[in-house]
Amino acid sequence: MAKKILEAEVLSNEEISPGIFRMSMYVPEAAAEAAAGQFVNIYPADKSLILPRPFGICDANSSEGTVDIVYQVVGQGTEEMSQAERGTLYRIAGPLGNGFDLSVFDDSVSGAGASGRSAVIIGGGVGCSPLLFLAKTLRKMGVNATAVLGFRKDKFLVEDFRDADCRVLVTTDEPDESSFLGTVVDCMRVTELEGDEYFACGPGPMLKAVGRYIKDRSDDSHLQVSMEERMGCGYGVCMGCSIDVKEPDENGNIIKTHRRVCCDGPVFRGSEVIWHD
Amino acid sequence: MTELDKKAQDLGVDLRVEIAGVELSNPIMPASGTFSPWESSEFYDLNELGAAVTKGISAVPWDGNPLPRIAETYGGMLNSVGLENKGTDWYKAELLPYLSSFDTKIITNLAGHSVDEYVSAAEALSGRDEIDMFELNISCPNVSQGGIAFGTDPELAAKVTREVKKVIDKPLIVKLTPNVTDITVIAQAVEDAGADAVSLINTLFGMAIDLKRRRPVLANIKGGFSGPAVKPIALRMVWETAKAVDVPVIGLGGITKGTDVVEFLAAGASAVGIGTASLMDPTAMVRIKSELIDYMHDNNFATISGLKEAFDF
Repeated sequence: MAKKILEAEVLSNEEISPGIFRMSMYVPEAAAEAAAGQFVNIYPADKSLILPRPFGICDANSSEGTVDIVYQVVGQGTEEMSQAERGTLYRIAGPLGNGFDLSVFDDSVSGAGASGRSAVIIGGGVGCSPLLFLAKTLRKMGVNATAVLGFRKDKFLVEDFRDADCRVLVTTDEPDESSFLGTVVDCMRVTELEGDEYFACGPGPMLKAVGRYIKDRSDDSHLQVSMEERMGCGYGVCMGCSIDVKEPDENGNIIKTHRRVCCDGPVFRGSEVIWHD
Repeated sequence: MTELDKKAQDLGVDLRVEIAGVELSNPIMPASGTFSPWESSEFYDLNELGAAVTKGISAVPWDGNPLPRIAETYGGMLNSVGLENKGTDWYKAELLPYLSSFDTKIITNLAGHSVDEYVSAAEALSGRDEIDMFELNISCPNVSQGGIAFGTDPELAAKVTREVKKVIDKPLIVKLTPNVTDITVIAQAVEDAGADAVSLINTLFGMAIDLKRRRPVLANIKGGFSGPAVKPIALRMVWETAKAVDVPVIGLGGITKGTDVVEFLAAGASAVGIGTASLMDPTAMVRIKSELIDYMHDNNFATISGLKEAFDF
């Protein structure tokens, strides 16, 4: 019984870009345990909305007891959240799911050590949020991190990535002096960006394009993608978010099987995911 | 003794119930498909459950339906999971050894596309002493063959009940669908065929449309509707069925709190299943059990049978 329903107090809830909010919550038990790539379930206060809403953890500060999330207003649950004022209490569960695997940068595991090694972080829209926590974690480990962040028009969190001492490349559909025109994959191709490990989070089509790009150029077992699917329970009992993956069977043959995004993921290897159109 | 069993004892409340000769420590059990021993036990002590009802299991693994499988609706939800499961070999090798480490009864929910498939799944698991009862799922709205097709036809429902009963040596609960004109006809048919208990309701057929994408929310278009919104329908059907059959009725459908359990017991249920509430709150079953104890204590009911007798209608 390691997991609990916690009470989280909203400390701030700011619109950081049109329709995009950053909520900071005081919830020390979750803050103490959170790892990059994990998520929290927020249970709406409106009783007609029965299911929890999952949000990737954008940042967690164990000494201050805070967990931050970034969300886009897309429906009634996020609409309710966007109205939440400082002091609002939410029931949450978390941290849930398995975060990014950073053992490749761990001295004791890889033998290679973190310093001088590099990570490429690829985010799209609100999917940039959990990657900020990752970028901060990687920089603390001494890993060189480059973030390619893609947006339709309005950019957000870009300065947070820079503040985390991350090299940042931005792409949008409406470029300006500080961003490229095109997709994150276009940007990676043009800049010939390479790293020891790749991390991606964003819309499905973006993840699929990144998966194909990495597979064509190198080894997609070094790509970690944070998948998103519509969830029911968010902790592994309902099978609502079960995706197709491939894995070797006992004879080494590659077979199709299933994994729950909520509790087997949300982070998967690019080489495991079966991309659907 | 669990924390809540201690609380019940201290308050002079006896929660024990009996279903088909099997004594349960209390009437609370999960609805099939909303419980997984590994993940559920991270949130609460499984020993608190009267029984653990496992997700529908078939003789061979099933892939389930395409995603999205979940849609929220006002006060409820739709699912079209389609009984994705890893099959009876996995169930015997992985699930039973783990779940039997807890002190609760095990009810194994069986799935199939045909009489033969139900029988194969039952045969594969018969003789496993860890299993206390079987539950026959003839009411899943999300599989194209089998499932609900059996639950809407009294003759087919009786036939599959009879054939499965032949190959198992434990009591059989038959889980009924509400997607029929008169649920008591099906309940009586399976009772006559040898069912030791019935459970109801499974989910109602439903649908939701995404106006932005201009298509149904669920990839499978239709799904099973559940959650607090369905409780009045479930309660009515439990009441009708309890009057129509002699075997025990396990009531489920929209239970989210202790007083909901009391309503189902009052309507004639001998025990209850908690489903969607465990998605709304992973600790729902223990909270509901605690609330039931409080209700019984506050209203001077020492036993579940005493509570049921107080509702005479």
